[in-house]
Amino acid sequence: MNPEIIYLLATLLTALLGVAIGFVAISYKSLFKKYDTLKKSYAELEEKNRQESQKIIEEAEEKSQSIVKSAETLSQELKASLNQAFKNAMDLHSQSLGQISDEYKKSANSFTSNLSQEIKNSLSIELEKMIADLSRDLKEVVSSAATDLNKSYVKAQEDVKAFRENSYKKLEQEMVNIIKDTLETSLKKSLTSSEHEEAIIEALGEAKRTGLFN
Amino acid sequence: MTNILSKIATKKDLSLFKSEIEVLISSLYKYQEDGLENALNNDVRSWVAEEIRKNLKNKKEAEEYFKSIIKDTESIDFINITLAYEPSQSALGRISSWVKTNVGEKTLLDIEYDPNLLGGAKIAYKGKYLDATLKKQIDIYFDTQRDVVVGKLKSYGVL
Repeated sequence: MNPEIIYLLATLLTALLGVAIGFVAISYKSLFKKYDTLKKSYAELEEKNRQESQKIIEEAEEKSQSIVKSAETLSQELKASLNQAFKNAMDLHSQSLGQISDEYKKSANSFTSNLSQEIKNSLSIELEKMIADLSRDLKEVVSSAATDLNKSYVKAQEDVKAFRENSYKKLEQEMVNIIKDTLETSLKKSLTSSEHEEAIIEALGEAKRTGLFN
Repeated sequence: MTNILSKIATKKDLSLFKSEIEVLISSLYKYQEDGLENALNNDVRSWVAEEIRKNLKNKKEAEEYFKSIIKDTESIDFINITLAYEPSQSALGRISSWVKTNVGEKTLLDIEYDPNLLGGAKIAYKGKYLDATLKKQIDIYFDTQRDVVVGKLKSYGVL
């Protein structure tokens, strides 16, 4: 192919590519612009929502405080009116109430007097029973303790006796051993050659007598 | 049994004697004049040399004589005896004499020593055993008469 044609074609293709890139760049710019607009709108919307929510909360708080306040006022008013009504009633019937109170006092005194006597009697009986029971229990405890103490004492006495006897036996054995050792040491040093010789002949004689050499 | 063996008292002595006889047998094969006589003079104890000269009439029969001695030693019995002291030669002679008279001519003593036995002897012979030591007798006494000893101590106010 002719090089000029190739050059022209290449130039044309390069120009087309440049146009395409320019178009893509413009599209991107447009997209970025749209994205910024949307982002701004979203932020505005979010702020608006937050403000409205805050407003609603504040209104609700105000409303609730108002309700609580009115309820307290109502309660105080009700209490005051009730007190007044009670006071009026008391003023009207104070005399009859006093009489009732005196009679009640009398009957109550009589009742408590009788009751205390009964309680006293009952308590006395219970106390006596309790003391008897306790005495019996204590007696058993003391008796058991005395028995245990006696057993322990007897056991201790036996232990002491056994220990004393054991120690005494050990002492006896020690003394016997000392005498034995002394005798052996003494014999070792004091036997003469002729005594040794005689002892050996005697030993041989004993061996013969007992049939050792048969 | 050859007379010469009756002069031997102990197993240790027998061992030495046998080695002396071996030396004398060897001397018979030496190429020197009177090798046996030289050996008798120089290589064995005097009593051994003396006994051999006494018993050996004809030196030509020497080898046969020595071999008969060696053969005799093979049939010797031993009494194993443990003593508390080391006896003198004369005491050993008396003990050996008692053994040869009362047990047998071919019986020698195999002696051991243990000073803790105090006195007497422990005797073992053909699988049989007897402890006839002073130590044993004292042990028995203190075992059986312990109460007597304690009674004595009490009577002296020690216990």
